[in-house]
Amino acid sequence: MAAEPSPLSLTGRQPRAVRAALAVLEEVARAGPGVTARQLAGALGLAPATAYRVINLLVADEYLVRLPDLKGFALGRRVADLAVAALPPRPPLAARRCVTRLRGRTRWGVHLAVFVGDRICVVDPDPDHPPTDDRVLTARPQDSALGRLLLAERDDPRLAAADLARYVARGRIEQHGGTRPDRACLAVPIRDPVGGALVAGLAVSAPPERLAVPDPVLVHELDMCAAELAPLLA
Amino acid sequence: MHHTKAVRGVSPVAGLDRRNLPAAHVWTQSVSAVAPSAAMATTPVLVLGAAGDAAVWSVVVAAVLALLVADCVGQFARRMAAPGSLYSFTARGLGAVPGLLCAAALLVGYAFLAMAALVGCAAYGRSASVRAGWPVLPERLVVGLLVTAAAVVIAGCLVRGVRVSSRVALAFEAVSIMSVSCVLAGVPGGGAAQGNDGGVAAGTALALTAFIGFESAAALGAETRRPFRVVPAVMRGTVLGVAGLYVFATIALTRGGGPAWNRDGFAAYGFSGAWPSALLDAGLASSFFACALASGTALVRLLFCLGREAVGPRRLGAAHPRHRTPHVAVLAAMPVVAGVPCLLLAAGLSAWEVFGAVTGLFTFGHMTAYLLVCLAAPVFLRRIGELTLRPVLAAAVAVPGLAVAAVTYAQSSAPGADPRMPGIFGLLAVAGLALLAGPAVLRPARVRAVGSYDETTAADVLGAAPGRRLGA
Repeated sequence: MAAEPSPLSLTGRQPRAVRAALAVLEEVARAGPGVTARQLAGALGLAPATAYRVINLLVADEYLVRLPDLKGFALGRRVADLAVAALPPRPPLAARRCVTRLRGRTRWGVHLAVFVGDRICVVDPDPDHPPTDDRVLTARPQDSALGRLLLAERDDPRLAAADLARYVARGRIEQHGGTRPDRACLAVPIRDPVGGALVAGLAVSAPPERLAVPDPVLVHELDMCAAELAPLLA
Repeated sequence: MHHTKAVRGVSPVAGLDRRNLPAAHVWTQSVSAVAPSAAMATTPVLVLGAAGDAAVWSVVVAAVLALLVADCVGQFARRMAAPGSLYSFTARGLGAVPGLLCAAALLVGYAFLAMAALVGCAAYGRSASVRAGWPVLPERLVVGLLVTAAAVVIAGCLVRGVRVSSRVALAFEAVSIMSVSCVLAGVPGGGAAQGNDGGVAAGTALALTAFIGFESAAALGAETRRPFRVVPAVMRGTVLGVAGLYVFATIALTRGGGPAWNRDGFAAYGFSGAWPSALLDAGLASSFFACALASGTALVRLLFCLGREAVGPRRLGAAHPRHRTPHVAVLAAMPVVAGVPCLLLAAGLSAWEVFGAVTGLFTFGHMTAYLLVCLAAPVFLRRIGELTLRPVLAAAVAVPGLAVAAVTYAQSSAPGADPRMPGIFGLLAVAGLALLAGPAVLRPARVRAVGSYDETTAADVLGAAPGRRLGA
């Protein structure tokens, strides 16, 4: 009996299709979000039917996304995931110094995380208090204060309405024993000063009894540091 | 250079379990809604009666027609994930009023499909118990009680979430297909085909009804992982798979000369021996149960979508915070789905008559929705600048084909193909359209909301912030 061809083996004209797909991705990156299928076919010199098929395959696998007018395309989150996996974002030196200063003023762990789509990337973990792994944080955002910042931003029902209301009122979000039973966490958002989008989160991790009633000085330091980080990370 | 709408931070259908359902569950949805084992046991007999020797060809032509419809729906499903399925698709192609007409037709389609499946489940369930030697109780009372009980279980499954209901449905359908196939394989050969030779057209119209439900995977688009790949593949694969089963069943019956259709007993095959018959009936009951669950799944998502758009009552657009299902739509829909058959039974109709009446209505509902969505596909593709020859050809064959099939079905002798049925369906559709379009016409903002779907959100796009306009 002949061996079944592997579903990933390349035959016939498929290498051309792969090149066409990569060319489409490059062209969307170059032309910017909103480029239409017809424009892509024209720019790449592909037959429209071929171009539409390749584009819809890329959309099916979420490397491209259709914008809300259904005509335009943009690079999807899976492209971002490729980039993040290859090269995790690294905050500038000024931002890391700012976080190090805060660490010097508190006994507890201080972590800086940036949000890439739904991914939580701890870009400046506290060397003395190792944080939970990025993949765990991303998979179970409801268990960590940093993840809850992201859920609050998305109005995600995994965050209880009462927690969301408290976050809106106080500007900080807490979590007790979600990732480790002996740890509680307090996080503040870092927002783009223009537009206000959530770009990162700054978290303090400590034994639960220490954060039950957070020290006002600590909260103030955290807010100041977040404000200082915003223009550096946005 | 590019003009695009702003990307939202939150999808218009937020609250459902977004992009989380594995492909296996989407397959189950489409296969269950078609109820292939129940269709295998009933439709080939009818097709054989209408088309005689041409029965197999009728099934093949119906399969081609269903594939063309799947192709047209697939053009949308590759590009949009919409809980409102065919309604949202039609609205995007043809505009608000044809879209709302499709919504009305599809509401009739899924609600009556669920009713037919509930009655089928109850009637075959009773039949199985009688054949197994349980005491014979009054038919209408038992069927009414079983319909109510099944509806309660289904409502529970729907509120608890698709994952649970898909697993339950898959198990039921697998058992059922196997038992019907065993029985069909045992049909003795040597008989001559019976029935009127009404031609391929008459048989095709009847055979097409056996494919109804394959499109219901589209209703799970927003909840499916990689929906643009999975949903079109599921619709196409379901049509191809069940077409194979129907061809097998029709050939097996043609070979055997076609057993008599026993109207009163809901039994397709005159087998001797109580236990094989009881098992077959139990299998069919489970197939119908899965079908009721699947059509309920599609129905409540359509209601959810209409509620979100404020075209229907807003409360229907609520999602359960924990189970992430349209629980208010479930609680609104299931009493009606169970109540109508119970009322008809109470009015003195037999289970078979109720089954026939609701079957006629869901057939017309689905055929109307298919026709509209096939018309909408090329228009939509032209609007977004992605029109090619293939969808134009598909629509050019499917639209007249569906129209002929609907007219032929109305004139056929199938259960539910009553001459009054198109009129009753017309009244329901017009009433539905008036109810849906009335409030929308008064508030133009609601007209703009028609045809909402699970839009790309800022989180899906590389480097986009909510509200920011992408492009220049």
